[in-house]
Amino acid sequence: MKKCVACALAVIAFTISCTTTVSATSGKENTNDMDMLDVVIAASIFLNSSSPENDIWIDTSVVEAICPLYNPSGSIVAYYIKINPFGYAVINNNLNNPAAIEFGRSDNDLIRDIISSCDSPHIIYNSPSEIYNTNGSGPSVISMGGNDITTYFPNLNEADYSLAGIHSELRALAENGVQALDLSTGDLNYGFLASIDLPSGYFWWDIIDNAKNVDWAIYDDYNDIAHFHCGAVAVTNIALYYATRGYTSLKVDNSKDKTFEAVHKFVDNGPMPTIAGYAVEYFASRGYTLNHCEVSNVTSTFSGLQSAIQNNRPCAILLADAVFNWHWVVCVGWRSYGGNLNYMQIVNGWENTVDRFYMGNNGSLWISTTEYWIG
Amino acid sequence: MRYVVKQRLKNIVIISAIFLFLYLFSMNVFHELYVFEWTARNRYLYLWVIILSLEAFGQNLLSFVLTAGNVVGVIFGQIFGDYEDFSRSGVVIWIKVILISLIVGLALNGFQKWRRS
Repeated sequence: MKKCVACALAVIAFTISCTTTVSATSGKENTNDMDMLDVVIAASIFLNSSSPENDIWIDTSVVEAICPLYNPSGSIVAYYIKINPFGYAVINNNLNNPAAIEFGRSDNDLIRDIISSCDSPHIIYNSPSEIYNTNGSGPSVISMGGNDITTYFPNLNEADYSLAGIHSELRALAENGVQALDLSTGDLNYGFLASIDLPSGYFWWDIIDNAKNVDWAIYDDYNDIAHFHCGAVAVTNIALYYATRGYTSLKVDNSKDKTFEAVHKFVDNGPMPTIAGYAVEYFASRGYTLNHCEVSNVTSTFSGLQSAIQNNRPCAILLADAVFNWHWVVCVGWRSYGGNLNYMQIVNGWENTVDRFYMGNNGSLWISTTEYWIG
Repeated sequence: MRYVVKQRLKNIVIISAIFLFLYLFSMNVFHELYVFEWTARNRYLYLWVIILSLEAFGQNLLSFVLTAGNVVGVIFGQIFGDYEDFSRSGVVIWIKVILISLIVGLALNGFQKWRRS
């Protein structure tokens, strides 16, 4: 995502140091029309790939040109974007469906020929192969009659809310460029988001049973008896969770504070690179056998975490915001918008709420994840 | 040769005693002080293993400087450490003092060799 944001920010450089003869329409004609930033963002979604062989928008890529493409009646139906050193895309001019009509590592030869031969082309784009210029004597003047792009691709007029949601989030990040970069590391916020900050649109989700009914322990409530105790808070919260699931002995004297004090005798002051062993000891002291298992923390393989949540197993997650800033949180659910837009729903240990989300390696490093269950 | 081995063993005993004394003192007297307790509980992140190994290989100056750095770091960390921001916490100060000790020790080693040559 950071790469997408960086790509989007590249448009600023493009507008300042435009080296091509092609200009783009700026400003929005109606609410669904794109501007240049939208075009860059939409292209970056399709040209970015986690696999190197499919990754067209590489680290050194810059926007070479953006050109509006029209239908025969004069409306902008798409935008052509050329990437240097390689890659191009034609983006549907519809913010409700910012799809790539075509894209690739090379170029659309027809568009390239028109642009290279005409200073101010007016390109009609009816399909990837039916393209002509009405403003000059370009080499590719082809007309097939009254068809336009929606004749060939009627779906382009329909909304794709999942894609639009991803697009709008990246747009928001790009517009707040500095803030977006602050999402990296070292700012002590670890990249935690409230649900209101998440993208709009359709999403899939799951949450462990009873998570919303737990009175979670908070770090600041115990500053007088503990220091750097996020690990102890995380273990306390796992114990409090299982207490609501019927393992009542885990909550000492039915008191959250006494439970923390008891846990803190096992999980002492931090920093704590691991807490699983101490958690097992605490649960054993209360008469329960706690099992734990490492879960993959590779961003693209979200399935391990989803499986744990489906089985109602809270996960302790260790994050690093800087070399000397580490933090334990408890994952209680997830939310997915498709693609790589996967968020963990967490109890961050600072607030008594489950309305907090974290996208892996966004705002802090995702160091480790461990699922816990009693059995 | 026998004198060298004897001297190194003597140094190893002295360094071990310093660590052991600090450990026992931290766990029994200062166990409620964050940096003393944390460093002792975490066995000084096994710094003593490195120091004793250095001594075994004849790096006695560096070993003693690091041992002193450990003691000074714990005390400085406890006095000047922050309890809100971990990047300024006593543990981080302790680590930084040890790193400074390492640099000082290496510099003194280099200076010593330069003088001998």
